[in-house]
Amino acid sequence: MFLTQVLFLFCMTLSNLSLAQDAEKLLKQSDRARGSVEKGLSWISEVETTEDGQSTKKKFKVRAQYVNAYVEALEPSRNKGEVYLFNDRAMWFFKPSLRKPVTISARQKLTGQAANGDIASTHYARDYTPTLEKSEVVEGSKSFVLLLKAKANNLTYDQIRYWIRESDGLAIQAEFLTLQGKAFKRAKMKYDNKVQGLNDGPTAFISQIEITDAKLENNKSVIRYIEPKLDTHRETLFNVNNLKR
Amino acid sequence: MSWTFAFRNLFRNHRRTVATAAAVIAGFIGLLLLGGYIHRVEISLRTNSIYLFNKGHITIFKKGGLERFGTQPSKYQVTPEMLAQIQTILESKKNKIDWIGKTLTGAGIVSDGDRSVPFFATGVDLQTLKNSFVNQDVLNWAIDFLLPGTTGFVQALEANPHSISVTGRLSDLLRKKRPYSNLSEDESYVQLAGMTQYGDLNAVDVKLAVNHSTGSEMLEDSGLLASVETLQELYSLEGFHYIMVYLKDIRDLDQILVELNQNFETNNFPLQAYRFDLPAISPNYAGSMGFLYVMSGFFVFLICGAVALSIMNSLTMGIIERTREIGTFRAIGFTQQQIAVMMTQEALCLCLISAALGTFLSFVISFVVNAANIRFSPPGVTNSIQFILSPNLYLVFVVLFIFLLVVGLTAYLVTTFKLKTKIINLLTDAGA
Repeated sequence: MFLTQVLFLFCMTLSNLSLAQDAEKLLKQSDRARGSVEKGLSWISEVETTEDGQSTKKKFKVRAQYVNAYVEALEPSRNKGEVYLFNDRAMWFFKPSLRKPVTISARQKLTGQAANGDIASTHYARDYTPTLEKSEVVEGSKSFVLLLKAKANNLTYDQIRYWIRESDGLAIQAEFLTLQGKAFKRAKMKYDNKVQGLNDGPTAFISQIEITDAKLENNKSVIRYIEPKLDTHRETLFNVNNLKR
Repeated sequence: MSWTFAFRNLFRNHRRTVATAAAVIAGFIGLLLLGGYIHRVEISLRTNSIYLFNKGHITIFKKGGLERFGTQPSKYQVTPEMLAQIQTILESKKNKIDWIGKTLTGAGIVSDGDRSVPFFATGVDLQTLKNSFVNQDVLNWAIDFLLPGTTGFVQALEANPHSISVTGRLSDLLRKKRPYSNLSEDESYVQLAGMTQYGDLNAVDVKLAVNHSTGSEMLEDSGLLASVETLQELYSLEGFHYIMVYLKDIRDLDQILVELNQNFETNNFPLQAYRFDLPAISPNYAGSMGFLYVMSGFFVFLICGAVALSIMNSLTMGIIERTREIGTFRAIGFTQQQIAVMMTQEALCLCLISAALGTFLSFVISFVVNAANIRFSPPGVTNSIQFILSPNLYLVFVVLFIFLLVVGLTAYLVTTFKLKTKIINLLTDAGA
């Protein structure tokens, strides 16, 4: 009897361990299509925001290399030359008229519903602890539902409910949650881009994220990822000391 | 004649007169010093609110701006065109107006390149800062709210319009050692970042110049003072949060306020003028004064109650002692009313003498207390401020009026009630 109980507990522990490993594996896989790769990448991000009936458009050139990213504002012209620099989890804002860059937070609003942390590549596997909650059918595809809890308090979101499609391991939707577990923003992702050279063949890469206010659904930001490609970046590009005037 | 009788009667029973006078004097001193304290606090808070919190005597917002500027600054700013309209309207009253000031407020983060700390900034025009720091009321009544060196902000702004003043605690959070004159050029510059009216992140370089205190514990971690132009550049705004009107004489406030609002309405200007002492404009002033007025009302009630009881007791004893005498007065033709008036006059004479003594003692006590420089830190206020008692002649007359009313009414009612006794009973001393 005792031996049966011990065996049962052992099996349960193994099963939980395996589930956790599965969740992490899923998350790592989905991150790759959102820029979390060691090779250098670059793309253009267009952020279109509709808030309280008014629309604005911004354009950035993103140069990313794993956890580092150099995001340069291209449009509108008043923002031209402004730079957002990501070094691991630290972030800076800089414009040519400043003596020194300003340390900013990833969760600070970039524009509309988009936070600063949404603009560059995503490293959820590094930043969050995933738990596999259930599986669900979303838009005709079977998907795993993961609950991600932040490993640090300086991340873009505290908790995320994340839907990863079973067939290709791509994250297709997300709910950004408050500490109390209430959704305050929702996101839907599309993967119409292909990047050559990441694996053997062309790899699916994110093409659009639509982030909507959970309460006011007309308030939303759409981030479009244009022409993502492999690129080589100088190490010095991501050095904050080079931003000083 | 009856006043002479009344006055002489005070000397018939010295012990009782002294005991009653002591109660009246104590009450008079109590009320006068309490009034003196409230008077000092009121002027200090008023001066602080008008000149150091930059609210002016009259604060003018765009309609709805008082409530909504924080969330939609571009929509609720007072534009330069509106400012010109305000100046035109006030042109006809320029002999009553000291100056017109401009303020812009906003939040954001201040960064030294390594760390960022949230701030809440107030941007004020140079003229307002210049005039406020040398204002006679500020120097007389609110000097405790200014840190040593804060007034140097005017010179710093004249030398570099991008100078800022931060609270001591914000300085500590940024790990900037004071005085800032010891910092290198590079160390003395920090960056302010905030959201512009277009929803973009923007930042400007600013130079740490001096420290100030917000006078409020709640704001002491984030208080920042800058020029209005620096904040306009940071938030990409052309306008202001509100316009302040500084008057030469506070007694003109109501008239000018009414005229201004009527003018805005007649001309269809989307502006609204407010008094500085409204809770929404000066929460510190309104909250503290509301509490003090309630507290003083309670004390006035207690002190007047004690004085009234003392007078009732003294007069009852007097009537009992003088029952036969009162009977004689009645027998020779004095009416109840005349005797009651005479005894009331006696109490009023005592009250007047006690008031004179009480006034003298109050001024002596105030002088001693003020000279002792007793300091205290009121809840929610960062600096310690001097405990000052400032009774004045206006207060003396107010307290005297209250005491004459309480004493006169008490004396008249008690004697009228006690004298409803038959003459024969009074003469035989058997019923008063």
